[in-house]
Amino acid sequence: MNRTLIAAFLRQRMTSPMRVGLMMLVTVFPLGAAILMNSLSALGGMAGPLALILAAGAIGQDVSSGTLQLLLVRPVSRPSVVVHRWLAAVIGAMGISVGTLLLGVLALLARGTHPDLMDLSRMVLESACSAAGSAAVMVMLSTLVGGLGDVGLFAAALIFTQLLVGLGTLEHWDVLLRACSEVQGVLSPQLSWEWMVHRMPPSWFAITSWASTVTLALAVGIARLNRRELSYAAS
Amino acid sequence: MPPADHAGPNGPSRRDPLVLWIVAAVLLAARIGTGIYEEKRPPKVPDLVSWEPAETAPARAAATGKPILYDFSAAWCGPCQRMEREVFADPKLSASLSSLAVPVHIVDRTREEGHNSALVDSLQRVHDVNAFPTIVIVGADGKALDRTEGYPGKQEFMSWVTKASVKSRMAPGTPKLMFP
Repeated sequence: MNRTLIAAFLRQRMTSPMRVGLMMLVTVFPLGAAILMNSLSALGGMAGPLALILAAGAIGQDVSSGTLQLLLVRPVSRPSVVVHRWLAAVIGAMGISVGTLLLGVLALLARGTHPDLMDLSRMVLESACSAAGSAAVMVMLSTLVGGLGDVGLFAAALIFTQLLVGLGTLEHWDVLLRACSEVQGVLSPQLSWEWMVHRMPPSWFAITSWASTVTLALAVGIARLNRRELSYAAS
Repeated sequence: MPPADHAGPNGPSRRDPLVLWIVAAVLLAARIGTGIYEEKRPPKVPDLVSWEPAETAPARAAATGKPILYDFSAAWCGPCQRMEREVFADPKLSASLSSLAVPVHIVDRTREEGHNSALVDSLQRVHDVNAFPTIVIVGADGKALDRTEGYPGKQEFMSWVTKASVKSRMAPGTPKLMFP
């Protein structure tokens, strides 16, 4: 594991005022809601958006600015850049969401409420899966376009799918609705761990859907970066 | 055509992610296989909601002062199955659902049996059900107070049910419920 790549990426992200501001928005409001509602449920959905904020422009921004060309002068392979930036985004998103979750737990304990340990484990596992999924998709999109074009691609895909959902609902096209549901699952890969808490059989479809999305996104991201012409002359 | 690779001290700098492609292909095949299998045989999940039969729901709602929550679903509907796993199988959420409203489960059988019972048909017509799941909160006067189509996730769903239930209790309603 290349710790330098991970540390450098996280340092770069944590010193960007825009990203820090967005991450504050994503964490402070749910934390306030959790304290007000005296329940940790509001803190469950943070990791995905945090991973998106951290991973946005992970490759594309460095390609556009010329930083990646300099980085690759050193003996660093392209797959390594993709995988380590994905790992760094996951570690960052998990660190922030688990930290916020701990703050929520402390706030609840101070008010005399003891959070359920199983529920807490489920939230951490779901956060990890959500962060890994969202970061993989964003890193893949980032290898396709320069700068922060990945954010635009992501938003456009979300809006377009939502429009198709509207059309499918209106026209009763079940196939289209099912396809849109799959696309939405690919854009925001999540994995529910409810089955573990309630001792139910897991949904293998949900597990393979999440895992295939993450591996496919990383494979596409690596393949795309491998085939990209990166030189100051090319740009 | 990708540019030529320059081998570094640790091997080629653009190694193709062959293992990742194989794993992704296997997982994709498993995804399709499990998707087909689970559509035919969805994983059994416990249903912990105290569903009220549609016929007796209005009387029960009048007696308890709660609104009726109609859950229109179908066996083949993916989001409905997700809602069953995440909400109806959760002891806390299912208890909370039963305390907020009188829950009524209406299952569409058109795809399986070609038709529905007259009661299911009339409820779907009255509440203009075009997609699954559709959740309708019906107040004390028998009129729909709020509705949502699709499953937005358990937190959003429970938050919506709570708001709709509070709204129905605050609305000036007739003492007797109209059916449906």
